Amino acid sequence: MHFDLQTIWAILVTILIAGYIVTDGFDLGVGILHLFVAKNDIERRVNINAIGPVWDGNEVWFITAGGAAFAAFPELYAALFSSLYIALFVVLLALIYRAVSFEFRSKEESEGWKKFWDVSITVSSFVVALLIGVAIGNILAGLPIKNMAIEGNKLLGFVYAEKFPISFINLVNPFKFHGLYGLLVGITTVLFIVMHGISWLLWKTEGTIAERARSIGLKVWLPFVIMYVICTALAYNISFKVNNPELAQKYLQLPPDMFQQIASMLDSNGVLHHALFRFPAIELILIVLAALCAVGWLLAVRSVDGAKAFLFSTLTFLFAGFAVMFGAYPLAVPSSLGLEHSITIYNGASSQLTLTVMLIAAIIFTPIVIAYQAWVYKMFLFKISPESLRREIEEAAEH
Amino acid sequence: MDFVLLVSRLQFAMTAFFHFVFVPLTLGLSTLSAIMLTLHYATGKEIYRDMAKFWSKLFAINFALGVATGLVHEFEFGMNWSVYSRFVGDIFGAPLAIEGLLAFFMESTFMGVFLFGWDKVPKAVHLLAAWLSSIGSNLSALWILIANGWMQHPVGAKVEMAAAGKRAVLSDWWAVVFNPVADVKFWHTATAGMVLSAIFVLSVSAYHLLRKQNVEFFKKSAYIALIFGFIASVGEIVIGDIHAHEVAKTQPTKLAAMEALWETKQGAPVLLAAWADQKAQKNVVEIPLPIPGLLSFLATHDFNGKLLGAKDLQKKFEAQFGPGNYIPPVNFVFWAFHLMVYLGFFFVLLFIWGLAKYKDLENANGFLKVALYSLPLPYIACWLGWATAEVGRQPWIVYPLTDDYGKIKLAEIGLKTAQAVSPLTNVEVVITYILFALTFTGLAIADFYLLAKFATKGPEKEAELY
Repeated sequence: MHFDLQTIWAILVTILIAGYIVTDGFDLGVGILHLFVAKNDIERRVNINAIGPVWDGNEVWFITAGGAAFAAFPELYAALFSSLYIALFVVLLALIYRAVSFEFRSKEESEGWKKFWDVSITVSSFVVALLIGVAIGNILAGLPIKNMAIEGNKLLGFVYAEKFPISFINLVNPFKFHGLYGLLVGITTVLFIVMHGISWLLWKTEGTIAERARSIGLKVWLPFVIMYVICTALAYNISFKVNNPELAQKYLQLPPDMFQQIASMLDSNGVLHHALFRFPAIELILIVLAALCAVGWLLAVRSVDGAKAFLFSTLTFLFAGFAVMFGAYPLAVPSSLGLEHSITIYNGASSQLTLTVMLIAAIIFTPIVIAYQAWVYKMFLFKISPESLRREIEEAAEH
Repeated sequence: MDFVLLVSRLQFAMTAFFHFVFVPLTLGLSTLSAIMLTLHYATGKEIYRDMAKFWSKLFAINFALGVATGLVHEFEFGMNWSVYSRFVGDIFGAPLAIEGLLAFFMESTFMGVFLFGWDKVPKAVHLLAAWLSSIGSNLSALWILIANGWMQHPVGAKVEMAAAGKRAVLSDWWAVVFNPVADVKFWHTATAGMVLSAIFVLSVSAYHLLRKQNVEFFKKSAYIALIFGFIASVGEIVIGDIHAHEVAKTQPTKLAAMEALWETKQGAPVLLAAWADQKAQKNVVEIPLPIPGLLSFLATHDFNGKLLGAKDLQKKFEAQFGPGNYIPPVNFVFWAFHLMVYLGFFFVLLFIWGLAKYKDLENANGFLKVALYSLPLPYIACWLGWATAEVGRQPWIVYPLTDDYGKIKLAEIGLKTAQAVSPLTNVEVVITYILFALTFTGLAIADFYLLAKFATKGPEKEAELY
């Protein structure tokens, strides 16, 4: 690893994405669980109130991660968002319906109206969680992207080689490796998000909702661990082929020693085996730590300790996430058409000046944001329950 | 026009228009709510508390949809305009990222404290949260407009070859931040949000006053709106004038279309109305304002100032950039611009009228009716303004850096809209266009329905937001 600006920005973008999954992750989880932990109107209102003051602030992590990717790695942002066009569109639609469902649900008294938005909350939260995982899995396994500059085009940049609808179907096609891997990571992500949502509900609520959350938690733990093991095992087998080492050297723009290190790992056919496990010792440590934290989560859920459960689900994700980032480094989007067509953190990055300006902004403002978000969380971390909401409604009626 | 290009443009315009149903109200109403809350904590009067609660609830309904459409907006750059995004990302991405980090977190986090913190957090914290949320939303507009201003006037940049092709890179960060076009755009937009919000409050208040409901409550609300709106609307005209002056210097083809100015002229007059024949490059009808040289004066601050007409500009751009059409659709841009200006003057008159009638506002039925039915007008004015700015920029997505009324200073940074679109298929753009159109329409209807429901209900106390 080099400690240059590109690397620092790769870490920062990873932190922003992790910030998104850790913060919006739990409210997505609470959303997925909405129909299952809350059974009547009061409970459902409590369930939404559990995330009410924070969910839209959490979603800003997504917007900021998108903005930071745009600013620091424009080639990545442009190529990925246009390549995953329909998938991203579905995520956006789901996020819209989710936001609106929270806002609209309790503003009409009709049963049908409420039921519609309740279902919409669960479905949209599930779709967002699933597709984020599907996208991450697909990217890790390599996508058919092409650097058009290699073919002499001076303006197009990185372009997806497949066209719709094949391009979209293949993202979840179990008979294509990247599609299969996308699906598996997608399911794992949903399970994680549900666990993280359970942590929050145990922390923030008491009574019937927390009880149901706990019993679901005890059931989803094992499937999550199994899926995580499967994803890791498959990741070990991911390999990429270099068709033309000279083009790779020219277009990936890696620092010379980093390129040499990768070139020395190629076999006689130009295949880079265990491409995501080039530093097995460090990655293994991170993966084991993630697994240990998952065990810690189970124990915390058993003893209904919400704060501890939240800490452990957060750490599980952070260790797993950084293991992934570390494994992929310096590749941002590996190309399945030949490694020389890949987007790296070097050929995808902005200029040194932009990265510097942005770094200064990030150093000043990120701690401030984290500080006031933590402060707001602390302020809103009083327990709520169906009983407390009933009491509040009665008090308001007396006024 | 290429189909993917056409639909991508329509989709982006649609997203912008829907987004701008929600944004200006967020900008202005956050400030108005904060003012009301300040009055409550300063005077201890319950009526201001109820006011802050009532108006901030309407604001909350509106805000969620602003976030949702804004998210789509940010992502559509990469989705539909990948070539643009990779070409400009080095510069254009930075303000967007800083917007999130500096402004948007602040706005949404503290809005949560403001809306959910009643009686739960200390008064000073609650008040601070209301103001930070308002400042956050306006700061957010500032950074977005720095990004937009750069597309119009790409300062502080140079063009280089990178690993995946040609791109614009940053050469001077502060030039981008203090881009005169961007900064005046910000004030123009922020004041537009204030005018719109003032008319929103005024209009809802008029509805209740016409029915003699909660007279004291809505009279006070209307008073705050009238003062706030009057100051903002007068400010808007001054800022609008400065803005047009910047456009004249930096985007001569846009100015020519805004004013239907075909021939290069010294002492050009302002046209009150015109209809152009774009092919023949002349106006079929024109009704000038009888003040000679007024347009030259507004644009150059000299009654005898020279302005380049569309015909000469077309020749000049052709010589520099090769064959093509460099003049935006004149009738569209002219009327979008002029109707916006006429509405701007109407708003000033509306506020003056209201202030004159204020003492007996609940019985000023004529004024109240006009105020009530004026509600859509500021929304329309905002849309017209954006249409002027973005259609007037065509055929460019990044306007070649121009200054001094038509001197092209950095031609190679210009990027045409037609070059900037993602390599998508027809099916993809049609699917997203139709579904976004249905979704946004549904949202707008639901938003309107809920706003109308809560706005007409009046200030009743409720336990929780959800």
